[in-house]
Amino acid sequence: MNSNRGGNDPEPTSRRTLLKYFGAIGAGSALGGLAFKALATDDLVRLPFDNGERRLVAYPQKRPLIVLTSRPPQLETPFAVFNDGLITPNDAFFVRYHWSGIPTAIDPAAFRLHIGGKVAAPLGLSLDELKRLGDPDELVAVNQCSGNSRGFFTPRANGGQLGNGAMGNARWTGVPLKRILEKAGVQPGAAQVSFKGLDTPPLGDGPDFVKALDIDHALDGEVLVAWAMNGADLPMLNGYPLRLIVPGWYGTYWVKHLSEIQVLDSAFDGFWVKTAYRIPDNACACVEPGTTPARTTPISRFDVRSFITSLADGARLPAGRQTVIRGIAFDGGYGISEVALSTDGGQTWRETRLSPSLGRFSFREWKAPFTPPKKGSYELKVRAVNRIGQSQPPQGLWNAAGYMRNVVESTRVTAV
Amino acid sequence: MTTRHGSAWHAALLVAASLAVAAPARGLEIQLPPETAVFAPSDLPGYALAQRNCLLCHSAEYAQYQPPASSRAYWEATVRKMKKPFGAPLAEDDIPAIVDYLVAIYGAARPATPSVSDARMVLVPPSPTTPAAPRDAQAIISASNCGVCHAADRKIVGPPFRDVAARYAGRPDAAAQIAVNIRTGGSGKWGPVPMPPFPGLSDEELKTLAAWIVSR
Repeated sequence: MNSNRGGNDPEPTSRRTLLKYFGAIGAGSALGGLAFKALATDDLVRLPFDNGERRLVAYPQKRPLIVLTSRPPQLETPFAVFNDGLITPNDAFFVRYHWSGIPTAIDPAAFRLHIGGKVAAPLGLSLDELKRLGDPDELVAVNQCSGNSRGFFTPRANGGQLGNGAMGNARWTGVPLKRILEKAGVQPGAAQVSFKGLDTPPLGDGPDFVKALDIDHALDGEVLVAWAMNGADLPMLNGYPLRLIVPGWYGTYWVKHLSEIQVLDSAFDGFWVKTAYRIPDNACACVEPGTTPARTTPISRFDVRSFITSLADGARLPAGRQTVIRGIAFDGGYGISEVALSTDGGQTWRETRLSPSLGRFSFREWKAPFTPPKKGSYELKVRAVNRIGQSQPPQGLWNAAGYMRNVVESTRVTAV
Repeated sequence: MTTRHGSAWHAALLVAASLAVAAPARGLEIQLPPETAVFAPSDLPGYALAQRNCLLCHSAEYAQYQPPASSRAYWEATVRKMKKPFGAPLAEDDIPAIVDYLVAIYGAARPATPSVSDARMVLVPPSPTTPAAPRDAQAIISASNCGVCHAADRKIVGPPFRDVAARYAGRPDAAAQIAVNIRTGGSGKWGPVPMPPFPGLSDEELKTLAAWIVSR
């Protein structure tokens, strides 16, 4: 498995190895001692790749999560959370920002969502007005960062060095974007719709974080403007008070603190579409490591992924006795049709049992009984297929940005 | 540091910790935890330049967590991307030294794969630098690049020094509070852009700077 390149690593490369850290911190000045005292009890985790030590810190409205960066906050969900249930709790849901100018105080009474551009009637909707546009829609959908699992790329890809925890599955409540656009009245000739939130570049003339969707996608009735997540207001760090929900598409489009929608008569050409978040324009979104693709295209829909959640790498299970292995699978919205498990490193595969679906954009639970015939080590692998026949590659595919990793995952366990 | 200052600082930190999430009558307000990641100390001239420039906009983990073999070409392209299109006020002449530091500490030229014990290094703030002669407030402001975000009497990114002084006017712990805010950074008090921490300033420098700001 290419995640284990750190053979010189003195610690077991389990994604859940928790290292309590009690260092002699704060030996500096008295002021430093005070300001940094809390660190002495910080928990550390080791993500299983080189330079993968991370702090676990509880941010506002969050349980302790894996800190990728502290300013702006970028937080990864510890993988064990995905075995607690199919819905990722709000306080465990990952956080990703681009710029450090982020809102930390929002008055919902004063908040307005502006809709402008090629529309008959520009709008400035209050939250109450938005919620009165019709019955709310609910949808269970996975959000996943484009660079989820980037840290496992071989050769390594620069960017946020994430494990597998920059994903989550939630029940979103909101109003279809279509309804908002229809109220404003989309004019003929509209080509795309752009989305901007309240977060800003900290200084200078850095490109504001703005994303866009084709007009047909924006009007498909599935894209939501959501105010609630798992039945509660969105946490601030997940986009309070409104966020765009683009089911089946990577999180880069799920604009947080959504405050401005513009209908455009030509393709949006801002930095975050034209230059960033682009993938090789070919069937695998991949190239030979180190090479440059002939053409690129904006990233869009999730590929197929599946994970074992009930056993971590390095886990022990009883030989000669049955263990029910469980995990999750998801795709870009076609729906998972089959999940197969191998207990012999991929030589033979067996079908698993799929639990009832929460919707085609949701994590899908799978289960399979496994009785290790004898003591020793086993390499478990899991592989999903969706309704249009897409699956997962046996070896990790590569692109320079470290996007869309979906290799067949391996989990090494020992029967004792 | 006097006891009185010590308790004022301590109290300020406790208050900050208890206010992480507030749900006032009007909306949602959060306070981000203090920023603790710092650049690894080095004798290379790029160390101070990285502190002065990179940390204005983002925390140190962006560099610290990159794959250990990251090439000089990557670091150079990344620093240049920060200047354009990202808008960092980087002096062209400073770029090579910053790249030297990043490659030596976080890139292909780093000494070895970090171990758990090395993780300690990145959590501990660097020893406060002790300049040969005490620096006055203007020298500290200049060396720390405060002027990128703060002016005497007009808002740039952060509040003017005059407004900071006004906010804390009359409070016995004004200087101590301002010093804590400089050392640990903060967010939510003046707008969406957080104040970066300046852990490299000595207690003496913080006192000088805070006293100067209070007197505006």
